Amino acid sequence: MSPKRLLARAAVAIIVAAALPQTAALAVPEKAQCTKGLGVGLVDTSGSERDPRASVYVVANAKPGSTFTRRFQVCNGTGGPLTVKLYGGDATIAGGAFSVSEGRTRGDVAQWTTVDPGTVTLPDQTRVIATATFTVPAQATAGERYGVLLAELPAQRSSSGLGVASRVGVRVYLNVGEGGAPKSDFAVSSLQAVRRADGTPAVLARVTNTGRRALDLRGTLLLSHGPGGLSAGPFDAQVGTTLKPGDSAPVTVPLDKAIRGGPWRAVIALKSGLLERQATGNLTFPDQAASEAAPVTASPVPLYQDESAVTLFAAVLIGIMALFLLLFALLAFLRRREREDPRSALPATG
Amino acid sequence: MHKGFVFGSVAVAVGVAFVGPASAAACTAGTTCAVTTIAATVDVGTLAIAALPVSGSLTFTSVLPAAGATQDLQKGADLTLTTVTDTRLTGTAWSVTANVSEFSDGAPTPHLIPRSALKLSVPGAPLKVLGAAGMTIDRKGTATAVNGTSGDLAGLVSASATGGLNTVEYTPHIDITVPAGTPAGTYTGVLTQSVA
Repeated sequence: MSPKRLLARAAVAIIVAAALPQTAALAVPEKAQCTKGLGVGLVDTSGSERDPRASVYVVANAKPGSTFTRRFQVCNGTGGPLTVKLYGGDATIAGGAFSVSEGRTRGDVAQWTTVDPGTVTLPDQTRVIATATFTVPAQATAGERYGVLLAELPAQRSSSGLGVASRVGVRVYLNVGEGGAPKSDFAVSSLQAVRRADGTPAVLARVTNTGRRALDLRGTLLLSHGPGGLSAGPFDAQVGTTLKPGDSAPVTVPLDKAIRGGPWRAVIALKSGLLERQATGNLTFPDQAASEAAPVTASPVPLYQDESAVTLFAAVLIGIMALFLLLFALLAFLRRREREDPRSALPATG
Repeated sequence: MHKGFVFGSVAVAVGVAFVGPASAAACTAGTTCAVTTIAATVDVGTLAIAALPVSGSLTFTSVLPAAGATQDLQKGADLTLTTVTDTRLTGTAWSVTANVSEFSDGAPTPHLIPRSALKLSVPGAPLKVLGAAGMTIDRKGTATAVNGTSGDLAGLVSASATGGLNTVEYTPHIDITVPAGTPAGTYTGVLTQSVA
């Protein structure tokens, strides 16, 4: 080998050696206070992603051919040493639920994700920081994919012969496309008053994801203008319903058993990340258990909290104010010039 | 951006030690320079699952060989005490997906109990919830068929997005309809619970 090549190799070796301790340091278990069981948590969030879900899930918008990374911690609080497998898996959203696919799948997210380290042995009460690298192929088609960064504790066999395996993961909402993040939106189309078999009244809100990204819904419902002018609530909407684009699902809001009759004015406020929508309708609750009233059409309630609406309103307001200021300054300037110009003071000559 | 400094920082400990002259101007050749050590521990919170096998029997010794067996056998068992703990403090939801493999007796030509014979549920007791105000728990209270193809059962237990710090303990229950004629033996399978 020529001296030049040797020198080049040595230089590369030095660079690699200098880089290695940092990478290796990330994969070395360190002392931690772990909660009971096998735990994971996202460490990195995207600086450009404004969706608050990005602090807990991998919520990313990536161009075809691009690569990005996220770090997550894996914590062992099982009371003994563990050997854990780390990998990217696929997930589906159906029936309002986020579901982790079985086993080591070969869907898009699983194929595009590599996790370093892939296997790690953790003493009790230690954690390791793993790095997930997402490599989106150049030929990837546009659209949102769902997956999970998984830590898997392989099946432990009991004397009964039944194996119990556990996996815990960080959800991945990965949108592929050129330009910025696609629009998120949803609509509440109807509200329905029902009384369950146990006598508990509830409101079912039919929600449709009209945007191009999956939504994780949460929210509350308020009742007002009830019999005798009564008000009630807020009542929490049940379960973090996850809806993929185009899907529609009922969001259930269980109420207090004391809620009877009607009509009541119901206002439901639902959120996913920064996006919020409100809708209202007049409801009358059936008295009989296991019965339901006919659904009523929900009317959207304008939101001052709607960030995009506020931004647009503020922009228009600032624009109008700027126009007025400009006009005022122009008028002032013309008046001043008129006063200062001696020619304007001369009497008109015929 | 490092998440711990913005979201969900539970504990941050920073230690700083100075040795020698603190002034940067004094740090010249031949002098002892300031050595600053900064150690930071940031707890960003985790979503954790603990599920350990429990003693119990799924041995179908009462199922006789094919001769004379004409009725399916219903067999049920509590599977494993499972604890899900969410310390992410962000009020996001979580959901458990259950996967169950087919059951096999491990014979050279194994006899199988298919997934279509399996149902899972999470009884209301014992079910312990230590949660933030406003959090709701949804569970499959009645025996629900496991998908025969993929073995997925989504939403075995799920927590609403309005909760903060929360812990939920539950014990999934399995109902097996052992087809008539299934040879006696010990059948084993694997339950995988995935929480995200």
